[in-house]
Amino acid sequence: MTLTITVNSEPHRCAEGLTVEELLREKVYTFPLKVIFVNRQLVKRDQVAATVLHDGDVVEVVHLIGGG
Amino acid sequence: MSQDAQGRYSRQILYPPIGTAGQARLRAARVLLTGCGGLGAAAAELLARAGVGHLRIVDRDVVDLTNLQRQALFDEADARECLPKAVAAARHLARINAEVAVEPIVADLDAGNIVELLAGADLVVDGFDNFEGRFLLNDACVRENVPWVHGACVSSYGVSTLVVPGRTPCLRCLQPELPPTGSTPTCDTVGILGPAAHLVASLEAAQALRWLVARAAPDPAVLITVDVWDLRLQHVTLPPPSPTCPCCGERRFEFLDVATSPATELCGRDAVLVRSAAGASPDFAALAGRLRPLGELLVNDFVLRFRAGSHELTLFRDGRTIVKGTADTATARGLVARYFGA
Repeated sequence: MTLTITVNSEPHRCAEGLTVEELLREKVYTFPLKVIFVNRQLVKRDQVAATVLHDGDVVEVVHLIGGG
Repeated sequence: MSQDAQGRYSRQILYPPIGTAGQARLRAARVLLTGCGGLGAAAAELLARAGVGHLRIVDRDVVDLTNLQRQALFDEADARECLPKAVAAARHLARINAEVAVEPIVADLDAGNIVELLAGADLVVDGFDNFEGRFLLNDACVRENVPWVHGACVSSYGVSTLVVPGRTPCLRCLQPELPPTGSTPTCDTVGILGPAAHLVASLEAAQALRWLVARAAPDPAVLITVDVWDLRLQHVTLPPPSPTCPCCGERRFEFLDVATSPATELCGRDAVLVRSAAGASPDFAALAGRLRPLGELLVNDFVLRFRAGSHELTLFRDGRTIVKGTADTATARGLVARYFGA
């Protein structure tokens, strides 16, 4: 079964059981340091591998950067 | 408020959330800007034009030709004269709005001076170009209960959020650990677009003005990201402050206890910042006499710049030297010892 989640405001289809870690691997992001929110809750770094996504989840991926 | 002030600020006084009362609050406000590069210079100009009464601008570097692509407050003369950014900014801002008191401070913000430099500020605007500075600022602001506007940018991308201690998540709620040096991109490694820096600086200035006028923070807290190339703007609702945050939750301020190291690589710039063991006020005249036969020399009221071979050493009044042409801290310290005897 495929799920539809929202990643940074865009619909994203994925397989059931997908974790946040797998999603991040699938989407190739430019910058290394990411902060992830699922349904407005912060996903701590040590929970990225264990957090399973569900149909309708809203994922926001934000980059923290050092420049200025 | 004087007739002149009514006229000068009329277009923002017309904006109801500011009005005459808000303008008076801006005039009474004190803001610290930590860094005066792509973000700090643009934010400083917006705040000065808006009539924020007192701006303390702290920056450790001089204006360089590579800054002019985005740092609209500076010009070629500043780079030629090798003016410290804080000093150049104060001069330009005085011509833009003489009513604003601008206090330029040429220094490296560290655990030893940040609390003192923060004293009296209603708000801090983040103009840092590195994570170390921001983690230090976050600790200082949470401990001293001073709000700060985070802004950062590289490439075409930028981020901003207002941190109000106790009310919104702090930087370490989002990122508990300091990223290792060299692990993240910087403006010197992946570049930076002028519009990205200006857009983030504008977001910072807007959040600053709103806080100074109304003490208003978005509720719930919000983080904005922008990409000026892909034309994407992302609005992320943040959770409440984390009770397990090492800084605002557990109130451990470890970055305020970090001993300042004698030399720091300036990431991606092929340069090293060397701090003097001898302390402040080097004798520029004596040094100039000694160095003139050995290489190319420039001296002004603020810095002594000496070029020998592929190395360029810029010595500041507070005893710091920025050594360009090496990323190796030991080599840089060796050059400082050899030429400046420190």
